[in-house]
Amino acid sequence: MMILRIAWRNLWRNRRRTQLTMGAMIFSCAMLVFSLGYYDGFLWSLINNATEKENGHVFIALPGYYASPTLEDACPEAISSQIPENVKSEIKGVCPRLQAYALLSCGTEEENRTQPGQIIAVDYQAELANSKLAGDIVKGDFLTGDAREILLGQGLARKIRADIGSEIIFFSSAADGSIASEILLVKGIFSSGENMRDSSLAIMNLKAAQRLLALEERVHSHRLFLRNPMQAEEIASRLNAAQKSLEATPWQSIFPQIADILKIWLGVQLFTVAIYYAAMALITFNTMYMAFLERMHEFAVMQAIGLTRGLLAMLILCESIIMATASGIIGTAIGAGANVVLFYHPIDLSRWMESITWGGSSIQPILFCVPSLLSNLLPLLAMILLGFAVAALPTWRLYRLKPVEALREG
Amino acid sequence: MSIVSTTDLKRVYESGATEVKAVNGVSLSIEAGEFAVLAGPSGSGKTTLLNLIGGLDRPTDGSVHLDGELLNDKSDDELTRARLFKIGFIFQAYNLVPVLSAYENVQFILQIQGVPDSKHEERIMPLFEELGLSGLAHRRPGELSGGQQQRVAVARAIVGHPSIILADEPTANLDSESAVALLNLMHRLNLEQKVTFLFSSHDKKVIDIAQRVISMRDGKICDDHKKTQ
Ligand SMILES: Nc1ncnc2c1ncn2[C@@H]1O[C@H](COP(=O)(O)OP(=O)(O)O)[C@@H](O)[C@H]1O
Ligand SMILES: [Mg+2]
Repeated sequence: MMILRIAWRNLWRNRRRTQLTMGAMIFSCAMLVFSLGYYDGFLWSLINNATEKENGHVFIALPGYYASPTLEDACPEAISSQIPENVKSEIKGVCPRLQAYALLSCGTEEENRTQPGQIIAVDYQAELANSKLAGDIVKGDFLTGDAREILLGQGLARKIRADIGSEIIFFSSAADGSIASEILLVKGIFSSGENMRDSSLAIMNLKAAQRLLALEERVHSHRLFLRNPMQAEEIASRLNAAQKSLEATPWQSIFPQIADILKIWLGVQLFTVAIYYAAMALITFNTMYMAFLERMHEFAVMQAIGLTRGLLAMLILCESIIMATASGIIGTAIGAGANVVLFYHPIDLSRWMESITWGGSSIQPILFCVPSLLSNLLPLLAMILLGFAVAALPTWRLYRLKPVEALREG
Repeated sequence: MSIVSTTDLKRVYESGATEVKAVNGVSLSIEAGEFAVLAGPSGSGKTTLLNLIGGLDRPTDGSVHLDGELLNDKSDDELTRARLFKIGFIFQAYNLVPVLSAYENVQFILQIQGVPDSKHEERIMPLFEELGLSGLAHRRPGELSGGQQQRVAVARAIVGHPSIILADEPTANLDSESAVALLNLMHRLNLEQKVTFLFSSHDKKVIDIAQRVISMRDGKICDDHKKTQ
């Protein structure tokens, strides 16, 4: 259609102006897509930092265990049969854990130090694959599966004067009422950054703990890691609907503060889009409107030779929509590209910034983005809408244009 | 039947306190096949009259009939349709669409008239041949001389088979040689294809070519005579 051809060529007529306008539109769109991806990344890290060491995205245990854990309330280690298929496909990994309290002591006959500690027993391979537990090791190594290994929190190790290779006497009561005791060797020392945790926590292998605590093939909890942590609530309710012997608790119930942010997230995103584009609209609108006023005479001629106002409006609309859509697509591609790169290769800024603890989680100084359909589509659609908005005033002017007057002026 | 007829046509401009009677009671009728000129000094109301006839402007009083239809009653969009199908405009400043080639400028009319694409070339090329534009079809207006642009404008005006061509001082921007050449071309189209022309001019050489001279002064027709061939 000729209208489209005219619109297209008009864009190339004042090349510099078109380039500048489109450049600004592309830049703002790319920045916006990037920002939204960064917001999502920020939220994801917040959630992941809150969930990955402790409860996972969904915490599965016997009903009531989450609220008041006891040694005896253990569930089977194998729960695969209880998980519906439509949940399995969303699961990235499962980490089973046992949890107990024990006295840990270290030292010689003469000078012995004893501390009560919280013990968590983990499947080291599952943790390596899913959680960041191993990342906290500051000295020595993570678990390797050897029955006698134990990891100590930095504070705890200091209190009992233990170091790598030290012998630790483990003393606790087993689920059957018998006494559980064992000599373990310190394999590694970890620091999570949380002092409370580091001064009371020890980690050991699941198999060894099951034997010691007389809980063979039983665990206290399964922590699900999901492909998309935002789906935790949905997955938990599917699990709870499918069976009654286990209770699934999503991270949203565990970290209500973070869940609250999630609720207003869409609003935050829309607001950001609105702010960005309000500024954008002013810039593009001006140039588009100038370009339109310059061509008033041309429009009058077209109207004189028989082009209806409807078709002329279409011409203006085509020009601004072509420009907005092209800029939107290019900008989205750039922004989304940056998001994808930072999703796979986050940039660590910890050399320049400190992490902040908040709402049961921590905010890490890391440049990490999550590309999502919404954060890509929202700016693109808004940009196309902007195209319509920018065409509105010229179109209105056009409807009031008296061709004779415009012709006489030219 | 006359193609254009006006009865006691008036157009008054109000600029502040003063009234300008640009067209002041014109009754005129143009028959099919005429080659008529509106002659008169600047400010005599030629442009205003042509705009009223072409449905670009609305009269203060009086009526305009085009092909037997009263233009006064039509809405703006109906007037636009009437211009598209019944009138070909030629302007003093050529006014081609700058981003379209010579060929596309002419094709544009056929397209908005809804003539099927397959018919475009057979309607445009002979016209270009006739107007000596064959080699220039793909040039943009900016790459054409004034005379060439005005010939493209003639092609654009004529291609949609309008009832009448209205040309407001079509030669005013041309040197006298090009002006006479253009007028001769228009005259030939008038004789061979029976295209009706009404144009305005104050150039004696151009006026001399016309077959009917309508002289205007102060918004009124002061003389109207046909030459005998
Ligand atoms: N838009 C307008 N507002 C006020 N006066 C106008 C306007 N257009 C034309 N006129 C006046 O109307 C008269 C006729 O003008 P015009 O039709 O352009 O004459 P011509 O084409 O013969 O030179 C002139 O006096 C001119 O100043
Ligand atoms: Mg004039």
